[in-house]
Amino acid sequence: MTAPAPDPAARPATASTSGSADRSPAVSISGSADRSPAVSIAEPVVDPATASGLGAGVRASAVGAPDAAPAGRATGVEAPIGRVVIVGASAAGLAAAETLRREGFAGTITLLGDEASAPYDRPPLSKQLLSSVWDADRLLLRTTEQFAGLDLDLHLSTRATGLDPVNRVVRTATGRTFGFDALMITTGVRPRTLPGRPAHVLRTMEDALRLRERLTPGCRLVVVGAGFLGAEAASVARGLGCEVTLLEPAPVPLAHAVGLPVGRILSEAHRDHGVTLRTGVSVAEAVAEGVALSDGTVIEADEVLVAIGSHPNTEWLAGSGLTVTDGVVCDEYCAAAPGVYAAGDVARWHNPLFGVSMRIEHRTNAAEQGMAAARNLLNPGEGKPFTPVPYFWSDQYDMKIHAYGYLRDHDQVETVEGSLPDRRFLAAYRKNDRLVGALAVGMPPKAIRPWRQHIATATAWSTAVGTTSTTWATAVGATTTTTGATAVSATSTTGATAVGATSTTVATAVGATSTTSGTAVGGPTPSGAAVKEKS
Amino acid sequence: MKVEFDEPKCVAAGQCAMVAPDVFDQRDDDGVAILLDPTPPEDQHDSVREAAAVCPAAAIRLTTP
Ligand SMILES: Cc1cc2nc3c(=O)[nH]c(=O)nc-3n(C[C@H](O)[C@H](O)[C@H](O)COP(=O)(O)OP(=O)(O)OC[C@H]3O[C@@H](n4cnc5c(N)ncnc54)[C@H](O)[C@@H]3O)c2cc1C
Ligand code: SF4
Repeated sequence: MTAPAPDPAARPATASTSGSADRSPAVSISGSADRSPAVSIAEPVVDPATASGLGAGVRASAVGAPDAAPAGRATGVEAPIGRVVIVGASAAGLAAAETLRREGFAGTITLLGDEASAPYDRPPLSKQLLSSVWDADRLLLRTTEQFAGLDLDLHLSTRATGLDPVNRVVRTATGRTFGFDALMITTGVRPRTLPGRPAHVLRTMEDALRLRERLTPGCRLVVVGAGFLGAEAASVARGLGCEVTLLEPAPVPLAHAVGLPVGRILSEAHRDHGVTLRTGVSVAEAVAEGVALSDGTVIEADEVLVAIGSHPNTEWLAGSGLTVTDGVVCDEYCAAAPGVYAAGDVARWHNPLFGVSMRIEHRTNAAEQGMAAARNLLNPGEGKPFTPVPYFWSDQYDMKIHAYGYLRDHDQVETVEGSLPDRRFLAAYRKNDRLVGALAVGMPPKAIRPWRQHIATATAWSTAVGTTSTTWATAVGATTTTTGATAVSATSTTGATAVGATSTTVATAVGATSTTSGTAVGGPTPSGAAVKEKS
Repeated sequence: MKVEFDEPKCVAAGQCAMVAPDVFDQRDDDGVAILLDPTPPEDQHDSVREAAAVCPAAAIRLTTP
């Protein structure tokens, strides 16, 4: 399992970055002499079992064409896979390519990406790049030498436009075709936009550089959407001296994702830093003067950034027979069909650890899923289910937020360490009788790690929360709240077993705050800051 | 194997310390990684490669001397 030695003769990956959007520069950074195209893998024989289309949900027991001539060069790999095509050259696609090589795959890896740049990292776009702390070239995910070592058949500025399931071929915008024995789909997502005048979005390096140029001191910036992306951009723009207005349709930003109490605390940070946060407003369109709300009011702005979520890039899969439902639908092995896998932001897969189908737009998931899917692609039939604890971080003002697990649709959130108003806390999330998530702000890693562990082992809420019973008692008094009526009833039934000795306190606290969710956060604490709510 | 760690890039995700705890730790105050062993022994190489691959900040680089 050693990485192939770097090939000094290989052409640098960055050499292709000047390629124009529709020219397929076909930069191959492989070029090593010992990889002559083997005839045996050039024309895959179509397996009748798969010829009818790439049926989704089929466990990938037979990759590609089992009776195709085996790729003799695929040393260390049992399956007859000679050519892997990866569509989408970013975090997930790169992780997949690297894993294939680390696992000893010596066949052809074709990596297609529609951006002109060599793969770069996106999280710094709304952080260090937007604030000009880093230059663009710091975002490149790998050096030229590292790319060369992977011996990829890399095609940048190349957009895949179709997948032919019968002949197992990917078509590109310029009409080229790339045959494969196994396919990895890592095409990510693109931002949703508003009707009306074109506004800024923030997904690519170009987007970030374009926005950065406009964020001069005094510039009036309206950010539509107060999710993590919008919040980060607002925070950076304030730091650059812009006048920032943040518009959010929900009454409490991020409440659906992290719960009301945490959502409120994060919103307070915006107000403390001089951002005008308007919640409960619905934006109809971007207009010349700024944005128009659905009631007709116009909010004036010099620049408008739209951060209202994303669409998976799956249009190119139309007619392929793959099931696409808000992402490429995969089984727990990240397989969408025999020999076809998906990873990263575009993949919706069944995560057995939580028992739900999820699609995760997190940087670590892109890498981890790219790795897991690549391993399964090489070992069909003996693959491993992909069962991660999702993780993301976000930098907003002076807060560093870390979240583990699956927080969405939680029944209850409790502060188990620290305090919300101090913006130094660890909140635990319950779904049914289980700990499913944890979110920390300003906590040391050693305090967070055991919670991650508990989530990974599907620990019962009672056990997990019981381990911090000392802080639990305080936390309940100070900051308990719940997300609604369902949560309360769920708590009261599990409450007695869940918290043992403190069950009476919990029951009271939950009961008391549930009816007044608006004032629950920080209610009994001296800091009134947390209860200010504007809608 | 030589491990290089680009500290300013680190986002304190802690994936490295989880995957290769003998080679990486995290600072208590801000969670930024600490490289414990820049030339880890052979039996650590697989987990170090895994850590470098999974690091969401591309802050870990491996070179073969
Ligand atoms: C501004 C910003 C900040 C972020 N901050 C954080 C953060 O703090 N923490 C965190 O955990 N996550 C963060 N994320 C999310 C993280 O960056 C993503 O989860 C990650 O980039 C997903 O990687 P991916 O490879 O799955 O998809 P992408 O990075 O979207 O890559 C997909 C690639 O495929 C290409 N492509 C699409 N269609 C085609 C086609 N038909 N043919 C060829 N190529 C195609 C795309 O152009 C793109 O290059 C952030 C994202 C953004 C945009
Ligand atoms: S995995 Fe990378 S970003 Fe995370 S702590 Fe380690 S070095 Fe830092």
